[in-house]
Parts: sequence; C-alpha cells; structure tokens
Amino acid sequence: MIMLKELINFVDASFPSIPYGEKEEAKRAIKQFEKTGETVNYLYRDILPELSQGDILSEVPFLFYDSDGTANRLKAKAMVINTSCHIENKSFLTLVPVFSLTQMETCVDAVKSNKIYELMYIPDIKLREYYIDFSMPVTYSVKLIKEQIDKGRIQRIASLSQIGYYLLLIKLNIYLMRREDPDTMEQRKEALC
Amino acid sequence: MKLNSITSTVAIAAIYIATLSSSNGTNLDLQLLEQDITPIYEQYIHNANVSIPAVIPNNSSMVSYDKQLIKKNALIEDISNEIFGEMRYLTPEENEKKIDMYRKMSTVVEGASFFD
Repeated sequence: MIMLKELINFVDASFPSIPYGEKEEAKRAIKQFEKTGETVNYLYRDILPELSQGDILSEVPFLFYDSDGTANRLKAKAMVINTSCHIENKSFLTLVPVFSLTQMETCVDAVKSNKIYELMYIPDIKLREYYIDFSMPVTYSVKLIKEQIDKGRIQRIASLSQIGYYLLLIKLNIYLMRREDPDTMEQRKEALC
Repeated sequence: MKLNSITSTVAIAAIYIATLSSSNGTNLDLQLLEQDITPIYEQYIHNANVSIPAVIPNNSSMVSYDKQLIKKNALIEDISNEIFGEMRYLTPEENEKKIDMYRKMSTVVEGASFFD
C-alpha cells in the first residue's frame, strides 16, 4: 500500500492548486503506482460515521417531468452529491439516482469506462452492476432523510474511500464545468463590453 | 475494470482535483452571493472558482482569472481525454433508450402536472 499512500499524499499536497509543470510529476506518480498492481478500493471498508458526500443510499423516490409534461416517479438507489459540510449545515440535500446496469441496453462498456459525461461508474464489487446518473437530481429535506435513516427506512449502503471521493469530484467537474463551446464563450465576452 | 483504467482514474483524479479545487471555494461563493462582489474579489483572484459578473470591465484581473480558469479546464479535459479516452455525452439514440428505460420503471403521478 506504500505507493497508494504516496499517491494520496501527492493529491492531498496538491490542494488547492498545482502548477501546470507538475502534470508530469502526477503521471510519474501514477506510473509508479501502476507497477505495484495494487487493488484500488473505491469504497470505504464500512460506512463513514456521518452522512457524507458520495454516500449511496437504499431506494428513494425520484421524479422527472417528461416532454409531454407528465410527472414520472420511480424508485432508485441514490447518491448524495452535496458536500459533507453542506449536509451538516443546510436544510436540503441533493440526491442523484443509482440505476442497475443490467437494464441498460446500450453503451455499457462506455459507462464502465467512465467515458460518458453524465454517468459515473464505481468499479467496486458492491456497485459493479450499477451506474450513477447525474442528470436527474432530486431535492430532499436533510432532516427527513436523516430521520428515515435513523428509523431504518433508508439504509446507507456505502461510503466512498478517498480515491472514490476523488473520482466523484472529477466526474462532477467534468459534467458541470467542462469548457463551453467557443461561440457561447464569445457571446459571454461580448456581454462584458 | 482493467488496472490501467483504474490507475488512470486515479491519475485524472489527482490532476483534476489538484487543478480545480479551491480551499476557500464554498465560503467564497457564499460571500460573492451575499456581498458586493468587487471589493472582496481581488484577494481571491487566483483561488476561486466563480464566473465573471457582467459588470466587470475587460481589463479587470477577473478577466485574466477567467482565462486562467478556461486554460485549466481545457487542460483537464485534454488530460481526461488522454486517460479515459475520448469522453462524450450519450448520443440522442442512447439517451432516448435511457429515458425510455426510466419511463418503464416509472409510474405517472396523477395531478402533479404543472404544464397543462
């Protein structure tokens, strides 16, 4: 586990920013890590003490409005995407659904390779048959969810490990903050004048 | 997932988090929403992750910050493409199949339509 530990330290030490020149250092660290052939645990060995960002919950209702205006409700496992600090201090919680991959008819390989912007795959035995869909969030009262957990009506299935947490952040960033198309960027610049 | 894919995920995570994260991001966002933007912005100019308000002139350091952010985002996307392979959205056909799958799993909520 030495190399993994070093890698984690490397990532931690890189906050909050890293000079562009260190890209090569990052790659070198990864290559060293790769040589060790270690298994990466994306999930924490148990669940974290408190409800945290990236936690996977048992089934809750999700709602989406279809193109004809109808409201569709379905149940799915859920991932908490708010920061742990937010969960502690704010009233509402944003959950995104976790669906079974077995029902997915297309692009399963692309999903498993995390190549789809809006979908996330966690390569862990507990979740290997599931994917997370960032495109269909729902909002709940934090109090409600915590109470339901306390009552046992909602179970916390898994928490992310440090590496899993980094994977979540990277996927959220790619999904929400990837560069815009040049036309839109130009239009924004025009608005400055 | 193959080992190289796993390690690649770690690699991109390392680079991505390192390049985009801001230790003051959350608090700063709140400050920007709640206070006058201009006076408080400058101290965070290299350390925040916010968009440029329309009132900021072109010669402001906020614009240079924006360029820096764009550069970082572009770098990150390039690296992610290099490691994950070319990333993409679901195609319209794949997306329609996905939504259809969700429809089949759903029940219509009567009386909940807002758009009649």
